[in-house]
Amino acid sequence: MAYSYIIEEVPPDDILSVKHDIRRAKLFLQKHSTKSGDSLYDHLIELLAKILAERPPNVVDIFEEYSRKLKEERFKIKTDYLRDLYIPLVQYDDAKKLIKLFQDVKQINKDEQERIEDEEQNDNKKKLPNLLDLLFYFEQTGVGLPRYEIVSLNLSIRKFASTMPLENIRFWGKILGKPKNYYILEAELQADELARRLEQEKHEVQSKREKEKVEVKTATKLTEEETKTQKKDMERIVKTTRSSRKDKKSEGKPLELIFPSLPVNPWTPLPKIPIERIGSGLNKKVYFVCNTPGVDEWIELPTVTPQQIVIARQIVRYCTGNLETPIHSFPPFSGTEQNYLRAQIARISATTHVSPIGFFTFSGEDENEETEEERKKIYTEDELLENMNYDPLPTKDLVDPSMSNWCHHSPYILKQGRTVWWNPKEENIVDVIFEEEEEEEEEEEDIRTDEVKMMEKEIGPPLLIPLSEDAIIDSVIPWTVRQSSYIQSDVAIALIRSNIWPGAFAFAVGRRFATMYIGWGQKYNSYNYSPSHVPLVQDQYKIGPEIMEICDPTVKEEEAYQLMRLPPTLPIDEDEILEEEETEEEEEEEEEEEVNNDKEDGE
Amino acid sequence: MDCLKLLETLDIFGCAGVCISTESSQLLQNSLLILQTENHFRKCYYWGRINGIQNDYHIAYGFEKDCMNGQIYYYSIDCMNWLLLPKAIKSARFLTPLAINIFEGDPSIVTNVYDVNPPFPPNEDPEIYYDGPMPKELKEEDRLAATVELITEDAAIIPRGAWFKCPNGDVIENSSFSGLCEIDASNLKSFLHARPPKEKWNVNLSSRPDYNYALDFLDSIDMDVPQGCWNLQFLLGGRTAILHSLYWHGMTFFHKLNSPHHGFLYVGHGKKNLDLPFMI
Repeated sequence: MAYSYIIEEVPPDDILSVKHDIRRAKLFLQKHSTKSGDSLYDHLIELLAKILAERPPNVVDIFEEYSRKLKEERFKIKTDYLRDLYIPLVQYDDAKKLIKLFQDVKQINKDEQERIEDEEQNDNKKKLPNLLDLLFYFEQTGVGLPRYEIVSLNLSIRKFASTMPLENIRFWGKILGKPKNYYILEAELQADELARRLEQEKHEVQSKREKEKVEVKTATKLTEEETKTQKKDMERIVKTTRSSRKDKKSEGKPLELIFPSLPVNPWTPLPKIPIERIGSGLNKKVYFVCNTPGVDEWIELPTVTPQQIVIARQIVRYCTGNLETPIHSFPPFSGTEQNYLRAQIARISATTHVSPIGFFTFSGEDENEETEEERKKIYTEDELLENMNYDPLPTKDLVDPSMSNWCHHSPYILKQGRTVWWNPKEENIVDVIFEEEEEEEEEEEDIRTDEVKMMEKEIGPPLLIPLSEDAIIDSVIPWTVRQSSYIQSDVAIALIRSNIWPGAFAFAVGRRFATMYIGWGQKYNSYNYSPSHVPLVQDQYKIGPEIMEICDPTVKEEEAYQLMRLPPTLPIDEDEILEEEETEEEEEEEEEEEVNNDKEDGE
Repeated sequence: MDCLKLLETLDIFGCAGVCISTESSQLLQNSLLILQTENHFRKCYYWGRINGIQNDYHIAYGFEKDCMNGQIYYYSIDCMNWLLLPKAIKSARFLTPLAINIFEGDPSIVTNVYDVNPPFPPNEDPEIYYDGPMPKELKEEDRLAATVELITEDAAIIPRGAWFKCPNGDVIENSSFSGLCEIDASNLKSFLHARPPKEKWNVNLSSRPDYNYALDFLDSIDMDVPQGCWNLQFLLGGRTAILHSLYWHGMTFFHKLNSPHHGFLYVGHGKKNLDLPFMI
């Protein structure tokens, strides 16, 4: 309806008509908002058009939301710029790297194939893990990694293996962190690489020793100088005090001030437990980490020291995903996050690397006669070998809750933080190789008398001990068994998960088994973590009569004391009384001398 | 996690190391569909799994009308027979944090959790901590109920806008929710606790400049104490946001950006990580 300006056509206000009402309502709705400049009329038209076009279900419930969205859309900036502004995708850089990885691996595979064709018999071909295969089994048991990650992991492991002198590469697992995660590879160094590293280590140790010698020399010099200066200071103090005394006392002998001796530090550091060499014990394997497989490079973790293991047991931390993050903790942890991560990996591996019994055997045949020493030998040097005649256990046996069909194949970490016990006494008698039993016994006796706590020999459980022997601490049952399927039990896979390290899993089916850890790298703690107490403040001085705090004698007491000391019969001169009054002001220490003086005077 | 989307768990929750195997996802999907129909639920969700020694507990919930206040929980051991999970009783809520063991796997078992881990020194008055006679025995079913409730309260979250409060007070799922954008998702403010709010309504509203009465009625997780008790990560080059609760290890939330897909899954031993303040 068009508006007209002819007054006669406008119906008078007082006549009620529907048309008029409608027009008035419409006019009201068409009023533009003073704030946004929109009118409800336009908005409703737009909204209804949108709803009719999109036809969402139950519109009435979300009507308000629709209306709000429509309003929001009006403020969106249109992207029709004159210039072609294209913002590259966030994933662009990663995509480029991944594509390169694909190409590289393709190339590597080609080269490998050519090489194999060239030399037909190539025994020492590297065995590469196929994670997709592992994933197939793990997925059935309810443990998994995203498929896209597995692919890039697989590729990056292949590429990595072709560049590094490593063998037995294995995907160890993943440690979740805040904000970034770690993917961890486990590998063993090849023999020549190992030899090279040991050589290098030797050189380093030597140079370190030389350095230390120099340092010690300078340190001793410094301490000598210090003592000299201290002596000088002391002398000066003594002099000044003497002179001041002299002013006060016109006559008499110079005073001797007795200073308490300088404090001696009674704390002696515990003997440093030596690190296990590369290629043995906890450092038998090397570990590599990265944040995003395929995109990042694999970074090697440093070797782990027993101290780090010991401290890592006493602290709880989340990983941050940055290897250089300092660790602020009590007791102080020596090293950064990479050392902490390495220590946690060592701890987790020692507890949760399990295999079906019989899968591994000792390479040494003579297991039957296990004397103490042989056991030690097995413990330290024997390699585990895959049992060629392994007879796969049926799943039914593997899921037996007594856990006697699974065994550990990683050495136990002792309280010391090593897998092989190190005798602190040995340090002093490095040259003496005790072959005789007697000597050893004697030593042990000494040990017991000296420091019982430190020297007790720690023996861990032997390798390949069944899980049924695991200790139950704080009533935590260490392992839980599950079957991947209780419905088709004939094809089911046995899964065991650790309750001590939540996130550690192992599966076994037929001849296949694998372990993996995906978790936060934290041990289960029944009673929760309580930080260790700060040790008591040590005494600076030994508590003795020189430094005990006692009440000063009152004047009366002093007088009484002096009267007692005086020879009873002698008459008292007036001068002496004066002198006594003077002396009263002075310190206690002088008392005796004073008395002596009196005596001399009297005599 | 929506019971019809359980097949996707490998690619979503795999980053936390958990997934639901193909067999059990099909089993769960079908048994939950039956559960949904029998209970006249509008929607049915798989909540997660609490690991026990003998058996694991599978938890599911559904709702008829109100997706916040009307949740009804069920639990099952074999994923086929679902039992109604009782409401957590007061004594169970008090005793559950004291339990030091993981679940046994038998809902009828009764243990004395108080004596191994008394919550306060013996010379103090128990009235301060608990009014009424001090309970000591805890039935595992009650513990399960209390644990599920605690986890849901602390760690179940939704992206902002996924739930919509109707003028009549009902909370419904917002069918016009189209997902958070990258900028919003990188801010913890955009994730809300899926529980009845504890803050006053005006506090939650005024915490953002672009407030909306219908959406900002829940507590946002950036107010949680201590700062940094959530771990936000992005997957797939920033197309999926993953939130790990550091209090409840095993609680993982996902949201596919710019899409209405979101959900959470708990797979763990059902114990709260009280060491958190020492760890971050």
